[in-house]
Amino acid sequence: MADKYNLKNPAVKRILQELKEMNSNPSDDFMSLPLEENIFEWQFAIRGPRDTEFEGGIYHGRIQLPSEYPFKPPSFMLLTPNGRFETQTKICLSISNHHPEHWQPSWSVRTALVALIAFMPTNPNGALGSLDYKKEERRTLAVKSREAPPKFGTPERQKLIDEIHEYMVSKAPPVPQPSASEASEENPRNEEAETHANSLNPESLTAGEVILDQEVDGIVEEQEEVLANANPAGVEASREVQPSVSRYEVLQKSDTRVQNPKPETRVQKPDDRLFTLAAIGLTIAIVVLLLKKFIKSTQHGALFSDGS
Amino acid sequence: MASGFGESTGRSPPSPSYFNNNNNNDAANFECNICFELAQDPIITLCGHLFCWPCLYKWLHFHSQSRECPVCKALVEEEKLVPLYGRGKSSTDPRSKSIPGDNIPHRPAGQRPETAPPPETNHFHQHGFGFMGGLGGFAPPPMATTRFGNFALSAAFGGFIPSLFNFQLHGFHDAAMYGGGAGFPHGFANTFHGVHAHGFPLRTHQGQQDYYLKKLLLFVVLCVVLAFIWQ
Repeated sequence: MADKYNLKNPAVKRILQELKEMNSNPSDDFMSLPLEENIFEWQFAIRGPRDTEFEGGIYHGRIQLPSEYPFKPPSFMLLTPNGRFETQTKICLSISNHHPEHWQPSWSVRTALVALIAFMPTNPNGALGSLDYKKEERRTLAVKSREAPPKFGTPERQKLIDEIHEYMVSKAPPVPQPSASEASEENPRNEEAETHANSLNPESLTAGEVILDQEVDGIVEEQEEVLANANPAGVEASREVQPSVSRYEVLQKSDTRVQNPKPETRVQKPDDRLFTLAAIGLTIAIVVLLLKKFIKSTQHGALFSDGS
Repeated sequence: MASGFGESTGRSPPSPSYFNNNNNNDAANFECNICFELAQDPIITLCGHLFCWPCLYKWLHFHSQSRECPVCKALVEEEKLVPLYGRGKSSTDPRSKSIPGDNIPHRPAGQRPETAPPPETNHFHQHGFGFMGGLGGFAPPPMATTRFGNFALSAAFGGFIPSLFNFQLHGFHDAAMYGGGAGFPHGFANTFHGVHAHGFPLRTHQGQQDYYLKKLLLFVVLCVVLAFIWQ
């Protein structure tokens, strides 16, 4: 089956790699599969986050990966009515193509689905493709979402949707009965974060866990950035701090090369000077001896003339 | 239920998996954070994240708007990237690259610190200077002019030359002691190593000089003897 895809395309290779990892480490929280005829088109289903009005719900959606993936973000569209995101409309998230400047190439479909689950109980703040139903309505939609998968696309795609729905129904627990006491708005978020972290631990490998934790943390930060307007200032402040990191100066090779010859020259000079001095001394000695010989010869000549 | 799951598994394209779980887990530590495959031309950012050089180059130069790390958004400076050189042969054939059509420059080179200073070898150099001192001893005799004056003058001159050599030895020794100091002395230490490396040629050089000087000395002695006979 791999022969059908262009393995020289880095986007295809990356998508196949993700698919391999998701198959080797399946999760109870979500499932996603690509279409057989187009690997850039995915169908997914996510489970509603625990301890929220979405718990027990099974929400289907569609992912479109760009041709430049993973350098460009994908787009997400939900198909099951859920009360938080519109259906049949691309949703606006920091992980979607509405904000390509926030996308990270190290994110994947898996991290995007985890983030989507985490975004469900957040405040939409009027973002594109968002809805703000009441909790009772959301719970009703959650119960309804388990009964039947949505109808969408070609028969082949529908077959894929049905297959995913069967898997998710067998994995996700049913919608719990509403309890009298409702948790405060802040507590569910903390519990959700812990729940997601715990749920991923037994399923992912050690290395995968480390990677996922980093990625999930990054995505959570993005979520905060999207929700609060004050955060962009914080982000700018953090970016300003980054350039001020101390820089380690390394001695360059050119400097080292320039420094090397000088000492060698100095080391050689004493030897040359020594030998030069010795040679000069010997020359002077020879000259002195020659002069001495000349003087003696002159005296001998004088003595001879006196005799005559 | 089980049949559905089996069907979904069958649908996935087959991938060549030659490793078991442990190997896959270990291999993930060396996989690129962008293409999720074993890093080709691996390179590491200052924040410690591993990428293929082609993947990181494409992200920094064509897609990223603020030159940030694809994993943690830290600022990435190309002059601070560290390449990883393993035992694998670096592929120089462009056709073997996974991205044949792109004009991606070579991976930035690693920043190589200067060579570690070698252990000191004072013994050899002291021996060498001792030899030079001995050579200096041959100089005084040829300077003689008269018998009585010869003894006094040769003694004085001989006394002068050894002091000169001692000064040289002391100076060099001091310089060697400062070898571990700042930049320039460190460079000097490198040269110290160079001198040590050329110890044998240096000895040969001294031998030739010594032979030449001895020859000259014999000639001078011969002149002195002739002068004496003539007298």
